[in-house]
Amino acid sequence: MKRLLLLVLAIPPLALCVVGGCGPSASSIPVEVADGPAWFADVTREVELDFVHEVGTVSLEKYFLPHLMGSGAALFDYDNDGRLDIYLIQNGGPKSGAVNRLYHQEANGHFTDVTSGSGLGITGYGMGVAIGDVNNDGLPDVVVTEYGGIRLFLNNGNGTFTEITKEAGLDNPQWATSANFVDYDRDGWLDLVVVNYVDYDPTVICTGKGDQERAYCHPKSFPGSVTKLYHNLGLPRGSNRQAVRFADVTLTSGLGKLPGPGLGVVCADFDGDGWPDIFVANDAHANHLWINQHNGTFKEEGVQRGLAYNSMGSPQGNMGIALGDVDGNGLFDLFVTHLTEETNTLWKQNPRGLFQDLTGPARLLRAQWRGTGFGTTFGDFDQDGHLDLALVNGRVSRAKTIQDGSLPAFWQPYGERNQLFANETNGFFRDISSANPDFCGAPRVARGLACGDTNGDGALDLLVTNVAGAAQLFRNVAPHRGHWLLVRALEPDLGGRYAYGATVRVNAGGRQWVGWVNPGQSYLCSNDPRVHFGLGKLEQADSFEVIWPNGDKESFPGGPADHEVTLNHGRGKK
Amino acid sequence: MNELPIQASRTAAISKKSLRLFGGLLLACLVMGGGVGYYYWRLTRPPVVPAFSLKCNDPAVERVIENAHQEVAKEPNSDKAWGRLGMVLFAHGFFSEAQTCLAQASDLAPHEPRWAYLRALLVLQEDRTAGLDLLEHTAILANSPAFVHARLAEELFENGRFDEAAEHYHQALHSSPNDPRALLGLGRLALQRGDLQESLGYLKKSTVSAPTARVPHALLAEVHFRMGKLAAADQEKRTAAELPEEQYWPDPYYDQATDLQFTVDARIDRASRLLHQGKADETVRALSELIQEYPDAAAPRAALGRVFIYLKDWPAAERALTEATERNKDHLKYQCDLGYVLMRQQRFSEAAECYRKAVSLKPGHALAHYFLAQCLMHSKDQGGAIEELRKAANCKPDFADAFRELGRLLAESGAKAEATAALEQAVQLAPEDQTARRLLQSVH
Repeated sequence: MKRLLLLVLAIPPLALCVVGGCGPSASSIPVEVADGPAWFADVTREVELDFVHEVGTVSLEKYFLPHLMGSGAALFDYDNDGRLDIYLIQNGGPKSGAVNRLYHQEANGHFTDVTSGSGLGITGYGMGVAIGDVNNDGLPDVVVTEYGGIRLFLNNGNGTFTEITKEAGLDNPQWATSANFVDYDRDGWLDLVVVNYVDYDPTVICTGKGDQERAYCHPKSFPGSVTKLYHNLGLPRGSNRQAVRFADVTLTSGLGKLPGPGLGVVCADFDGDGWPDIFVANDAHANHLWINQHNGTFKEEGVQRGLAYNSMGSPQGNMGIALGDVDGNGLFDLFVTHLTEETNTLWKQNPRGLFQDLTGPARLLRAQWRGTGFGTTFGDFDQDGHLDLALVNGRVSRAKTIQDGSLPAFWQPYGERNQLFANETNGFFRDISSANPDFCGAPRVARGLACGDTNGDGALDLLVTNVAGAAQLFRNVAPHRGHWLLVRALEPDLGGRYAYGATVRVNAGGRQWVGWVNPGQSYLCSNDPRVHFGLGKLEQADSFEVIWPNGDKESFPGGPADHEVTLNHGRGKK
Repeated sequence: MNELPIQASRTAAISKKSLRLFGGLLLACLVMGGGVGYYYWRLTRPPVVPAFSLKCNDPAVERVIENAHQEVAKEPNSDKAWGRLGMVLFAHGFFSEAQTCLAQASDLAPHEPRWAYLRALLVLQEDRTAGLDLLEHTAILANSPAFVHARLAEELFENGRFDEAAEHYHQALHSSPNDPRALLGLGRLALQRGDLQESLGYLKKSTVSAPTARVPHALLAEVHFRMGKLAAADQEKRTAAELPEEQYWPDPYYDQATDLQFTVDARIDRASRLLHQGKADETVRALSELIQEYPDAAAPRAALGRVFIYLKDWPAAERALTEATERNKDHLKYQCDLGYVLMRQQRFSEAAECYRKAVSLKPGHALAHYFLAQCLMHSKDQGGAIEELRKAANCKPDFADAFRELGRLLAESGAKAEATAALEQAVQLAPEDQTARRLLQSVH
């Protein structure tokens, strides 16, 4: 009887459920909620990095598009003291007081603002930065891209830089965004590729779709600009180290035939012929893949090689670029960030030189939230031997609902949360964003993401730039990290500079890892030029192999893990 | 032994038990009855018309939304009224409110795929998983058209559910044989599997069904390239490059919604489409109405000016564009368009003023420098023209015409070396330009 009573009493709630329709909702497939410890901690204050990005004097209500698109940062060791320094770009305009800032890393890991007197404290509508040794004196030089031009600064080796833009023949009156140094003709001198965005008309007024309020214009409102290529003419022996000269070879190289609008660029050997090619991410248009023809010219093959469009054949936002071998097949893959309404795209390379959009199968669509991605990077953050993925987000159109009220009022509708994906194995990812509140918790209008080992512990840290916000440094605190190696691949006969374009292979425990010497990735940023490898449980590398930029192949003996290793061109076994 | 009290207490105990049981049953019946009544009430009550508080700068748009809202208030049980309100909100970017209305329309007409489909498109933007669920639900409705299956198939493909995607592409073909979008999708699936020959077959059929669609040609380029047929790949790529980059697949449900856009820009776009359909008079009429509704706005006047440019009615174009620049003198395009109209009327010095204004607004505007050069040439200011052409070429390194004209003027002025360099660049940029080739030959 009691049981009957209980049963009877139980019926109504069930009945209510049935009549009320409280069955499972339409969102029946739950997205995994990440658990586990955080991988990154915000140490910005701790290291005394006090940079705040400014968007300057042109009133925000004019929706001046350059405000929305910058700015970037560089992680580089300007004084060769073995510690990464930081250069951060401002976007206040030439008449603002907001200058780009150079921070020197001290022995205690803190950063000191050394801008004053450095020569790098310039004003402008700063976009991005590229780092490279243009005169092969062993000192990294700096190119700054701006809305309205580019500027080249030569490193004097004493904490100061000298601007030599005009003397060097660099003239780019367009809206420059990302830039890369690349030795495209393999003559030992670093050439420069500069991506240009749109031929912007600031008098065009655009409105938001719903509220018809003034808004930032879509890039399709303007024609795209061409990517420019500058050939480094080199310095004869004994000449003045400042007599650097570039020739604009945009037209003769073929890059001048197809305009963008370009936002991201990465240089690497896409077709496996040993010569560097140029991939340009074009905003809302087909990406371009310029294949080096070995004779100073390039042929565009983005469509044929599967990189122009996503799997649906549509052009997408195409902002930041990450390059790395996520599935361990020895070939690099490409990840490009897009708008919130779109999906970021992972193109896997297989076979060599051919790419397929495999974003869905890689489980990158199972994200806890979406965003408009800009800076992005692959890195083995937990050092388990598989490349993970980080990206930073920030909208370009106003959201209907505001995620967080902590941003300045104007920017609140643009704030979004960053994302972090763990590579579980061989290119299958899991979203661990919610387990990383420091890096992913607060909505920001993020743009640049630079990656590097800033504190010498062998783990990759992340530097993020935010529109009208503080730059942030996130230290890698992933527990139980695997073993690691940091490889410096150098050219002793070229001033000892980094061998941009070199391929580095590590053989360990019957497995091989591949990395590439190329700090110019992500969006508007320059990264740590050392190549990082996570080795998991392996404590020893058996050997190293390097394909140098000029095609030489050398091998080097292995060694214990958890070290920085220097490989010099010409000192290995051919 | 005292049996009576025992029996009495037993009876009392049984009565209490019965009472409790009866009470429990009564309670259960009341609750069940309440539940059934609630369910019936929910089924039959009219839907609550939400009060939207939408911020919109355009009174015409507010009116359109309000009219649709009132239709719903008049007929709260009409799925068409709810659906129209949903579509109007969708068209004007009020996505969350549109979802509410489309959900209501769907509830009222669960077998109507249109509302479920539009709702799915909205939900997809925020939550791919939920959006995919809704698309799947839409596709199983009896009268779901081919494009719904194709759209679902694309989502499934992107999620790596290739077998299911194939199934829906085939369903699309079943209801619409030779559907180019479905053929393209099957071609894409075959490519993904590595079956290049099969992919080729589907893609070629797709191009036959939709000759102006870019994507099949782009994919054909990829397939040919993978097969090592480089020349064929290049040819397909060239074909794709000549087709509009925006890939538009007919989507009647989506088009129905976007046709309800009532913003100034949308109305100008619709008017422009009329022009391209050969309906010039209707275009002028539509834009004239817009000008009357928005007397202070420059954009409709500028649009009308462009229509008259297209019709080569220079005086009328000049009138409209002058009015546009009076309302917005700092608009680059208006100044350039007015300058062009003045040039066509041989009024070069006035045109030059417009282009000077344009380059003051934007110093890097290559086209403005180019046309300013043309005006200066007519005014016999060759030096000035050369300077402007140099600026044009510098601002836009792929500007073949600028290089050609610069080369021409430099040759005329005797600067042979510089002329040669400019003309060589013109020829490199535009190999088909015979004028540039002839000029280059004559300089040599």
